[in-house]
Amino acid sequence: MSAAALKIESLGIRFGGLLALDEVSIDIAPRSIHAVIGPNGAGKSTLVNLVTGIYAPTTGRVILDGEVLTGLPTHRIAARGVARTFQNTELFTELSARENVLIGLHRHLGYGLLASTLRLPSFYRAERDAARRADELLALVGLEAQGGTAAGDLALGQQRRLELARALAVGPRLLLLDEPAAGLRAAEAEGLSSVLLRLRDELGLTLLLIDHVMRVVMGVSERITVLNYGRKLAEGTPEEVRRNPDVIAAYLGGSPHGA
Amino acid sequence: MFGQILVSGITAGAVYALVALGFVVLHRGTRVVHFGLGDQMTMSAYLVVIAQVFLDAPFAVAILFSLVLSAGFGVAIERGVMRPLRRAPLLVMVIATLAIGAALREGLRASMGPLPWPVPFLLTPAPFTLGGLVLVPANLAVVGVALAVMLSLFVALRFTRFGRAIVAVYENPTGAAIVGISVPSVHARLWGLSSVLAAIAGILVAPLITLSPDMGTIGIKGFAAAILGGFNSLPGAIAGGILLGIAETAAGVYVSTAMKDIISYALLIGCVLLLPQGLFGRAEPRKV
Repeated sequence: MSAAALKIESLGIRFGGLLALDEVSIDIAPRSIHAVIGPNGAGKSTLVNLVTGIYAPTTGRVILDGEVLTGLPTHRIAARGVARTFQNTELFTELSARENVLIGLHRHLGYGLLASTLRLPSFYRAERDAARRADELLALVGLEAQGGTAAGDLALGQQRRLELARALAVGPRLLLLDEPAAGLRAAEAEGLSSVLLRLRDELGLTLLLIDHVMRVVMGVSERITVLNYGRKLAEGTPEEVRRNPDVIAAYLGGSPHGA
Repeated sequence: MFGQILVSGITAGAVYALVALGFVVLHRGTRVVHFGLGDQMTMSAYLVVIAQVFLDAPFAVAILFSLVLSAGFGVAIERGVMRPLRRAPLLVMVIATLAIGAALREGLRASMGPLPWPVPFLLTPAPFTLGGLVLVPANLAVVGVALAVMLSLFVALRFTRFGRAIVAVYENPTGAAIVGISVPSVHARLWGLSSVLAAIAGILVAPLITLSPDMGTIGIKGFAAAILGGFNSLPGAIAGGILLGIAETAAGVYVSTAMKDIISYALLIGCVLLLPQGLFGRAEPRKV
């Protein structure tokens, strides 16, 4: 589970007449948190959907540690160590929180139909390991008490954290987070920031973070890319981006360079 | 009398329940209603006869032969027809299943002839009496096998990687893909699974009725049972099947055997009108 470098090269996609993303290139260093921000409709979620293979790009490609991901189906990209969460969570709502995480662990369960039907010792061992790992992940995101609750019955903030636990269960090298802080209360957003830093520092993950909530983004990211109307508007450290007049104009309206 | 109705009704109901499961197992994952499923029942029963009569295989081997080919046939439908149609509207896929059913039915009529073939019973059809009830070992075998199949299905869904991937796709295909589950390969498994359920139902029911190319019309009873159960609930499919079997038998006894199909379809229409989610189904909210 070593950290991965992500290279996004001239990535673009057109939906009918709309150029949702226009030849955007981003380099993300291993073991870093890179944020992508921008107004609504800037193409942020589209970018994540392109990296994870949910959309196929019109131009460009995505390279993870030298391996081209573009063209692979979503489940194969997941198998290469790319996990993600969704802006509107995509949980298995009728299953319990623990079962959601267990499904995330499914590739690591080393038993098949035979072992489980015959109840071979390997089945019990794998089940036990998976259950322990699931509980660890639930604890990591602070849901140890909610393991038995149906995912659909959890509060929004809890659903977000559960999706994070499920994403970690896949054993990712690169984690994409689509607006994890949206709709969270201030205290919850603080908690999220510290979880993100732990993922980078303790698990050594590379994170691509998409969000509106500046407090979270500015607090945790090494570098920030700003998108506007599908184009890269600016890129740099949080401080550079904060001072960039184009960025200020895009967020606050008005013409760039003063006025 | 009522006890006797229950016993006979459950035999028919067990078969309907298996077919209903075949419909629901597939539909929950792929959204496709497979109208050729009844004809696949017929095909699988013919495969047993073919293995026995033309290949001289023992009964058990013939059944295995039929089940394996039936599963393969289901997977072949997914690979050969449904996957190329995956971007087509759902209605096109459903019409394709009608075509598959018609092709099977007429293919069997052309190759095996329109006349019925004998299919062996699992146990003797000679009845015996127990506590005032007339029991038929052949019918009990049908119920026993159906129960065992249903139980194995639930264990497989709950405790195997194969089954958990299916449940994940049922719940959320996007979520499943994102944790590394191949949705197309789960679809192929569902086609195989649904075909095997229909095959078992076909092999069980063939000796009780007669095996002719038109036996597949009984599949529509499984469809009705699935609707009764809500069409998206596996326990509902089983309950719907048993209920339909009992209602039909009761109608046959208290009204007339000629009326029993009318009454069971009236039950279906009533259910669709008054209880569109079925007895066990749940309305599925759609996220937009």
